Amino acid sequence: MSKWLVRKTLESIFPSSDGLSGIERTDLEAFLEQFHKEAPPVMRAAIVACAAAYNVSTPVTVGLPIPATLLPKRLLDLHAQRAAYSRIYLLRQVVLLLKTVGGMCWGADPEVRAQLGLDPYSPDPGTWRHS
Amino acid sequence: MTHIAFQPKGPRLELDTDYVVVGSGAGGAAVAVQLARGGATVAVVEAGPWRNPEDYPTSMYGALRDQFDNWGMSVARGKAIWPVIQARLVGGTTVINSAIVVRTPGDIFEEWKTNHGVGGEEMAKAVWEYQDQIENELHVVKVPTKSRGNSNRLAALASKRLNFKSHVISRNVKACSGSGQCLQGCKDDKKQSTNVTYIPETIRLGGTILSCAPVQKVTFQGRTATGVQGHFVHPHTRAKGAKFFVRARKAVIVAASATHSPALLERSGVKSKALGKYFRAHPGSGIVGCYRDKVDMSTGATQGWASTAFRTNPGYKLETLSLPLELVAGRISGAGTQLTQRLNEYGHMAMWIAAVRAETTGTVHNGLGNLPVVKYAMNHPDMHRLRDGAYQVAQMHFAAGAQAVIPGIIGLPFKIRADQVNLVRDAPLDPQRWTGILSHLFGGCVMGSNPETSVVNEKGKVHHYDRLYVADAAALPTTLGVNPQHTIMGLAKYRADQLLDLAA
Repeated sequence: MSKWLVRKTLESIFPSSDGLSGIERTDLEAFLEQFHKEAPPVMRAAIVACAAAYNVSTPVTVGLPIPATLLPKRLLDLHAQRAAYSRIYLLRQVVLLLKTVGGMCWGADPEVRAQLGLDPYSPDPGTWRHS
Repeated sequence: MTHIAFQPKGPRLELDTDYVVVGSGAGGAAVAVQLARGGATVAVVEAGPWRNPEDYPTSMYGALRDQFDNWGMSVARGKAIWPVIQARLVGGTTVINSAIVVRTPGDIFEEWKTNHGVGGEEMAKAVWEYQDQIENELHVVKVPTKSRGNSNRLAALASKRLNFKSHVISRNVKACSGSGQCLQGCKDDKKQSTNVTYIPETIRLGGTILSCAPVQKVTFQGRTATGVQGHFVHPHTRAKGAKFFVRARKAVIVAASATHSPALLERSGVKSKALGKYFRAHPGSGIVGCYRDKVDMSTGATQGWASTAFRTNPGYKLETLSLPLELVAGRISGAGTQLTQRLNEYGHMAMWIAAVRAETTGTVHNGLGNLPVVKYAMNHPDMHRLRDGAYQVAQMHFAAGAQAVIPGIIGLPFKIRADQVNLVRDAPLDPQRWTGILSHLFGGCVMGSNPETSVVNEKGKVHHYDRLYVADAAALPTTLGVNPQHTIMGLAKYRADQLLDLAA
């Protein structure tokens, strides 16, 4: 449930637009799986809490007491935009943290990078010296 | 002697050495290598793992996971929440910084003498001599023309057109390939960070490096430091491993950063009224210019141009800072289709920053899980300086031919045109409306002659304690207004030679 919520949230923050793939076209599922395995528990909990806060903040963005995941596409996009510019500082910080994590997936995606004329990344070795 | 990485649970590892150095970044590595060159035995104890260039990640996710302290999620809490960036691996922040080398300005030593009773001409002369040595050892050169990249070239053009002094940055980078990967560590092995220079040399001279070994406590006999203890932590699983104890016959030298050094001393039971106080920083914010022609800030030196023309009045410095796509995705304002449409322009963006020589002081204390808790609320004069700096950067972008500027300040339009640049000059001063960062950190164990208002004396020794020293940015009593790596290294070497003289 929590991974589903984070996935839906990030999809609404980084959707496809003219000429540029959104996060839904990246391997978001694998990214979230890796993040879930590797990130410190506090950080994982923070992301889930941020996704939850983002989803229940619709009354202050679009004036509807409906979770963001249930909003029609146009309203969901409006919610994302207004949450990013909200007068409530903490809500803006919530969006910032979600964008930071989502950006790690979206910005490293080979298709997105190719669309922007950037070289693909080679895999991160994740290794260190043992002796 | 050798490198000892993560050790699984088992018998406690015990070592005896002349000096124990906690931390392997600019301060720790410089002090360790100087002590080793002087014939002392040294053990460097580093919280993070040792990664060679071939181990470095390429993505920012990998960098946060493998190199950044607390996954880059450490923050300073004040009126606004601003990130605090440091590394956690052998080499410390020298692995992930832009390798900028700036000599300590002379006015700094005068200020320390006048206001803190330390420093002055003698220290200045000594530190500058060590800085000569460091520049030779770490191959410090200006960013070569071929590696400058468009963002740095445009900034140089802007300063020329606006008629203020600026310079090509000098860095400890040997034959830069312009890969634009400074923040992830230089995979091309060009950056002369301490994990590829001073730490290997320390080992060759008989030193020992413990990696994956966060220090829990400095141990004492009365008020005399005797060593450090902790347990190994696996870099991937974070599982606890064997305990370790490193006994120091001559001194314990703490160089774990401006956030971790005070936190370590605090949890070790060090009593000082000034401990954790006078934490300072160079808070900064980036302004993005949008150009008609492609800039491609992801290639070329991450930071290749700077200006200190405004360092003393009004008190900020200007630099280029190229960010990878992943970080720009988080930093550019907006969300939804609006965000991805904006990111479509990434190739045409150049980001330059204003970093304030701030007078604000904060605090740092030990928190849960040994994570330092930083409190720092930028005051009004510093916010004024930040706004002045941002305005200067916005004007620079237009002088360099930008079609628009993205100020990243809530309350201003997403993009402004040249005829709207005064909006930045009049931008709100509420830090919550700015996207900022604390990059250079100072204090927490500040140096001074008065034990009531400082933690260490001129030689870096903790007041009222024996054999306990601080040799990193935590001891600096003021900000510098320039990049601090060179000052930290120069002072650390000075400290090391003072310790050797004392032992002799």
